[in-house]
Amino acid sequence: MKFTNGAQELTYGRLQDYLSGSLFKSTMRASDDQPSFDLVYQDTTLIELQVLPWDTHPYPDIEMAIVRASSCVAIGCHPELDLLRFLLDENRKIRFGSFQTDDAGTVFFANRILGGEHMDPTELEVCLLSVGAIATRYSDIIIDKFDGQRALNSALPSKL
Amino acid sequence: MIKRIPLAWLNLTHDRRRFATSLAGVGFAVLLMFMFNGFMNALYDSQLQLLNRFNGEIIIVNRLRTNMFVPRAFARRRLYQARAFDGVQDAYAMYISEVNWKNPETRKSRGVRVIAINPDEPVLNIPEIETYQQLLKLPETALMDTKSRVEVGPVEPGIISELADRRIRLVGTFTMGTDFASGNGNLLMSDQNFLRYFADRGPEEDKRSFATVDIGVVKLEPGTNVERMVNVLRENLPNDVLVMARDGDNGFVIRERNYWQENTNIGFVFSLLTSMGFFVGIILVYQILYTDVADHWAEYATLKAMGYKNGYLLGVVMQEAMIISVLGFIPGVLVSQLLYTAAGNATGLFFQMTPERIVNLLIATFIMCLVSGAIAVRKVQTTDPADVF
Amino acid sequence: MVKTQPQSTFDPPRDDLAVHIQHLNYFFGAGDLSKQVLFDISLDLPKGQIVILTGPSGSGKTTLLTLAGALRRLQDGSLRVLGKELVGLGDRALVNVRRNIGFIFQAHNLFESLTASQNVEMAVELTGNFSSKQDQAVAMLSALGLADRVDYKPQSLSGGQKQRVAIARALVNHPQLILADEPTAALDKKSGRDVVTYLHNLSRQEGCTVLMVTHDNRILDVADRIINLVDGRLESDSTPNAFVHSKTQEAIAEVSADMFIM
Repeated sequence: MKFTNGAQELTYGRLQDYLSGSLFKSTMRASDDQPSFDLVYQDTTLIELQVLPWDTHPYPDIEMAIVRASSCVAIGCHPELDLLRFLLDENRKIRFGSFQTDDAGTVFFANRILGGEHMDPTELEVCLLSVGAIATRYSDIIIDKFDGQRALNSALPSKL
Repeated sequence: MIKRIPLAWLNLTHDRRRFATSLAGVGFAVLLMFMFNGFMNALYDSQLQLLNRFNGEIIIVNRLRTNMFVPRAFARRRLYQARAFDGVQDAYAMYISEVNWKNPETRKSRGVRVIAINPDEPVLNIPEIETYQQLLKLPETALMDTKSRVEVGPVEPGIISELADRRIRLVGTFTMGTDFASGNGNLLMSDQNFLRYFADRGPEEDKRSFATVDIGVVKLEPGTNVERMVNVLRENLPNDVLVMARDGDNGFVIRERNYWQENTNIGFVFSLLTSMGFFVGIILVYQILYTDVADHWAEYATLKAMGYKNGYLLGVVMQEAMIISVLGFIPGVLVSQLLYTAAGNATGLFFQMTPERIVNLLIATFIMCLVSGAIAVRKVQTTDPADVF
Repeated sequence: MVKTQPQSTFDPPRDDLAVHIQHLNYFFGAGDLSKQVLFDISLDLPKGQIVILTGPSGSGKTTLLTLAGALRRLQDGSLRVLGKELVGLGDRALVNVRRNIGFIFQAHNLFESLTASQNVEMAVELTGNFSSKQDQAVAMLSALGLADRVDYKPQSLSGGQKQRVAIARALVNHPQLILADEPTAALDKKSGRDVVTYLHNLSRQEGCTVLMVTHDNRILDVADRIINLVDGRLESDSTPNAFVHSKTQEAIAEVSADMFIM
């Protein structure tokens, strides 16, 4: 595993520590080559946790990294305009994180927090819980409303 | 009942060989003390063997007779005077001297003690006198002490040899025992024979005759108060004689013992040797205890680090001292008993192991072990356990 | 020679600290031979923390440990252990403090003449529990995996087993403070890891504080805090697992998406 900077490495270690002792400890899996983890929320929702280096940031003397937690909500939804309007509307109501889309039309829910030295453990946990809870709730709503499907490798109905 | 782990006992016995060696060491010190003490007492006790056989409660001697074997006589008349008093059953005469006896086999002469009494009178508590009563009345006869030393030669009845260059025939034997004032042996004969041989023993001794007596033995009527009689006789007999009770704190036996204690080096020498035995014991026991403490220093320090007080460690060392002192004492006593018998046979001296002497030496052994324990313990108390770590 | 500070200049005692050291100086020897080994040490160890003390040889780590264990008399500074001030205490009082501390030494220092159980019982006897001492000893030895060795004498035990007996002895009275001096030095990797894991679990479950002097890099991960001592001075004080432990240990209720929607 190669790390881009020290903050990324530190963050990775701390995530590992946290996850090993948390409610996610039995479902967490670490990637072999990338600084990222997979974990399952409430037996149904897969969350991907990544540690990203932050090279250009306001503090020239220290290193920083970012933690991104994301979960795939739905794919193949339409009509696109209604979907996007809906997602942006909901974003306003959601406390932490936001809905995102990619080129393929996959809908994610993601949240990012500051990693490194100053990462706060409670904030990390709230981040993970919010991603898990929102993705779980909205997956059904969006699939229903916009005729989508569940994403591959996600939303497994049975216990892992 | 569940109680404390006996650390002292377990530590001592864990190494069987070392435990045995420790007991042997203590036993050895005990043995030394018993032997030296034993010799000292044997020498004194031996001096008193004859005295303890006197058949009487009061003794009369010439005032100048500072110990029993000083050749000073007094007038027989004094005995007649003594007999006159109420309460006196009888007063017997006894003669005593040192003479040369020729060993019939080697032809070498040795000094022996000769004791003479009237065979008809019950002067001494020696049963053989009665057995050989008639034979003793014959001229030139005597009984020989079987406990005499080997140098005296054969002692069976019938042996003929020379006594003070005169012929003498042994008609029987008795048992008494030698002492160091006359180391070789005792002969017993009648007073008549005695006077035939020894009326004039030269300038060193008072001339003897029937008119003189060496030692007077006074037998009292049963139930008479001895002290009162002693005072009566003292007041009424002239000052040239000394009247004393045989037994008791101011008695003849004690006087005799004190004489030998004060006028010879026996007491000093043997007390010194006994003390040396004591100190050998202290050093041995200290060595044993110290080795245990030193070998287990880290363990004991760990106990202190755990929170055990100094007092506990003191207790363990003291218990070890007690255990080896008691357990080492037992073999020491037993071997001493054997050696007493052997020494008694070899020297003819009277070796006696009385309960009082055992108790005294047991106490000495305790003290010996307590002292060494106290010294060993100081080492434990003064060292900081933290220094071990 | 540093002047002794009067007690009134030190902070008052705190309930949450197992060990509270303020401006501690310590000298070996006296007079001309006096050599200072600890310089102005100040340290707070909260209850339930697992702390590792490292540093080069001669840095004073073992000395600091023995001071915290009430094994030496102190004159200068303030050292409070389990609420008791040790500076100025006489030998008698120090002995009493030691009974509440479990000290694990580098050498097992077991009595060859006693069985494993008896060695551990020696510690229980200090508390006066004569009737239960054997049960307590056996239970403690079993917890360390020595249930089938309780009646063996040290000469029949391996090095690792002997050290575990020594540890059982130190812990059988469930002390609130455990001090360990190179506890894994004489052990192989597995035994060492087992011992350290046991101490870690004990600390978490019973809330006892562990202060360990060690060079063993294999076990550093078990510590909440690593303190580095060099030439009698505190060089660094890092908290490798602080991230996780600084998180508030709040219980998590049933999480619902409504919590995150305004």
